[in-house]
Amino acid sequence: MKHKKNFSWLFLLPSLIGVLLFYVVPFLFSFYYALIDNLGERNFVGLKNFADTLRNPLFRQAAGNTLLFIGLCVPLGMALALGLSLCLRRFKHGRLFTVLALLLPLVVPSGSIVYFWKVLFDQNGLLPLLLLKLGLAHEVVAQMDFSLAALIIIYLWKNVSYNIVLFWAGLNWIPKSYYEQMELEGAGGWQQFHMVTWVYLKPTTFVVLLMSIVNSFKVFKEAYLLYGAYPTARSYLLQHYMNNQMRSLNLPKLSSAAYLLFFALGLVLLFLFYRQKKAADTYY
Amino acid sequence: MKKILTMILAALFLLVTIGCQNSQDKLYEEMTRGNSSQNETGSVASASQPDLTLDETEPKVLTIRQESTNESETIYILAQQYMREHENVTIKFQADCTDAEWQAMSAAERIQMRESYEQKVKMEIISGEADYLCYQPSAGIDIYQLTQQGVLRDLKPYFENDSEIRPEDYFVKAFEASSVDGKWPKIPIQFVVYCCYFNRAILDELGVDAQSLSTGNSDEILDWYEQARETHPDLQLGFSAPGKDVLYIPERARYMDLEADTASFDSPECIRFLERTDQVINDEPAWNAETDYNHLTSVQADQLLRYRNTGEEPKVSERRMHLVKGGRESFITVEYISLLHFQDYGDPMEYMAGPVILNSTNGKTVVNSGEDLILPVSMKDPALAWDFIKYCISEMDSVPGFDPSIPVNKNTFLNTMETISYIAANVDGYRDYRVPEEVDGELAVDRLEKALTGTATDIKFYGSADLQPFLDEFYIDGLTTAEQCAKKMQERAEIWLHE
Repeated sequence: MKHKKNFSWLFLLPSLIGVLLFYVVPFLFSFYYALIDNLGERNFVGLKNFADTLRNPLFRQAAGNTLLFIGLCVPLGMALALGLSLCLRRFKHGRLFTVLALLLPLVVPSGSIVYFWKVLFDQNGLLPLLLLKLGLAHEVVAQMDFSLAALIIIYLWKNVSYNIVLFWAGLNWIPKSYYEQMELEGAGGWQQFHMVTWVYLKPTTFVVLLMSIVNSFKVFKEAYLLYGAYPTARSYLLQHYMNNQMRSLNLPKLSSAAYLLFFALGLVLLFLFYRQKKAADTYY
Repeated sequence: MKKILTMILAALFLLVTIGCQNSQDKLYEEMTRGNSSQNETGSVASASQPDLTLDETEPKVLTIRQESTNESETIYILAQQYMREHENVTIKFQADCTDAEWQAMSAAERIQMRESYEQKVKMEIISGEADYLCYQPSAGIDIYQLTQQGVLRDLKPYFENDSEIRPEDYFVKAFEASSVDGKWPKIPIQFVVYCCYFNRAILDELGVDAQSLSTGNSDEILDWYEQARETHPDLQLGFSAPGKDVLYIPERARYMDLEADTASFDSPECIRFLERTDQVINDEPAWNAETDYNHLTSVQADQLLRYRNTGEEPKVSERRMHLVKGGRESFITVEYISLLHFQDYGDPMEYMAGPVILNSTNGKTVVNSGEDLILPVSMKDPALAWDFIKYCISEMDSVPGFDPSIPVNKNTFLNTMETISYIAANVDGYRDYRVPEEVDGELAVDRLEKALTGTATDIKFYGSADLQPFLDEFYIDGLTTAEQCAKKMQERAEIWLHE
């Protein structure tokens, strides 16, 4: 048995080396960059870069925008995905076609679809034209900033199908006998959802929540293609901040911002894992 | 789980207490650091003295990095001259392409090549592999940010501590214009400043004495222009200068303070500036967007007005004739002042008055440095590099390469003025047929020094903010009001300044 265990490590070693070399070591090395003043003199300044980053109004604005974006997208995306999954279960005909249509955004390349979004949400695009036709004044429409709304819609359009797949798997796992039991006891639709579906979907919901938070950071690709490195103040996210620091090769600022984001996300995820464990202990 | 949470909270506490110094802590730290360095070295000033000693016997190699090679350029000629005087030194040029290859490229290929060159040089400088002197770094290399990252050597101590250099022999403002946080990251061999020429007849009508003008700013120009339009309603602002943002370039130094990291594009002054410039007439029917690249120069504008007044055949090159004969009467030309413009102080043109140095309305002189030399900290022999830089800015009969820009060395400037007609004859078509025979160099130095008394700032530092799309949206497309344009510019500038 011991011999088998030692042998199995050999198979894991190539991947482990790759992860170490390309993820773990750079991650730890970037902490060094976060502790020096600049790349020229390389004086140790302790945690000054972190403090400067936290004091930077631009970083705080980007963090606030990112928090707002996640706060809107994640619940909306989850609610929409769950609703669509429940609706799909009731479909008797055309379910396959609907599922394929919903999965299409996952496979369409971002670069090809961004132009469509631009036509829709640009300052001279279809949406402002529609608002003008509805009677809104030109000055009012010109002042409207659709950038954050556009990013939210793009996120929902692209990621709802991914959540639907996860919720669908979770819903199929719930035994039908529970619903039959509830029906016999006279429970309505809402009670069945509240007392059976929602309870037994909690592990899946947790996974969907985690993946939604992770996927919310991936919207930067579309944001960059739509608005470039310098979008409006409202849609300037943490990813823009870090991308621009990378472009100017300002590694101390970039590393300190990245570590702050890592710690903040780490705290959130730890809290979520703690809550999930507590809920699992209660029910299982 | 509780242990992990406790450790995280402790780390956060450490972060907050160690990282966040208040102003008292900082002051105390600076005082104690200053005292200890003084005790160690005996003087604070001597701690920053660079090593200028140069071994004249040991063979040395100096590499100069540039985008493309061109053997008729100033730097090549200076390198040859330097090697003749210092036989132990070999100067090599490292470039991404030759000038012939550059000329053969399409516009898209040139953009790609430039981006690739800028990325390579930035990476080399930041990673500490740049063992060279960089010549004429393009805008994308962003000297301002590299200086703030501490990867470019401060050349001010070299200039101040070199016993062979007398600061009074130089236009020091040209060096100060490029300063970043008090440091000099680059030394230009030559420089230019913005100037404008006025329609002399219009100025006379307004009662403004053209001879008394040494500097001007956008607010004054717009005041005079608006007064002139009361009697000349169709008067254009700039001679063949399509684009209402012709005054924006020198004026942006008013709304962006790079030292304080502040911008004031949303101020009433900027909004008013945008509103006023939006009202100017600047559409030139004779302009051909495909073949015309530059607006008319002062000499060409003078020929235009002469042709309108007397019918005399203009003395300009064939490719500009349609603009001179078909162009509209305008108020100003805006151009870079060069050696050839100083002729106009002593021998003014008949129809155009100037040159008047164009500052921002808050008094900053906008300088465009040319043929810059920057020295990365990773350069292994900075003493050799400095010796070559010093040679490039030392007194000469004239800066080789027939460039009409202003040499930073005043004596070189004066020497050049003595041979100005020869220089002008070799600068193809620049002043068309107005070739000076001689120019009063002392008068020119005096006028230039008077113009450079205020704060000088390098125009290249402002380019990275890229506010032009908002100006185009406002001036050309008419999609935003002045307030909306100003707000967008302010947002973009604040992001750029605080990153």
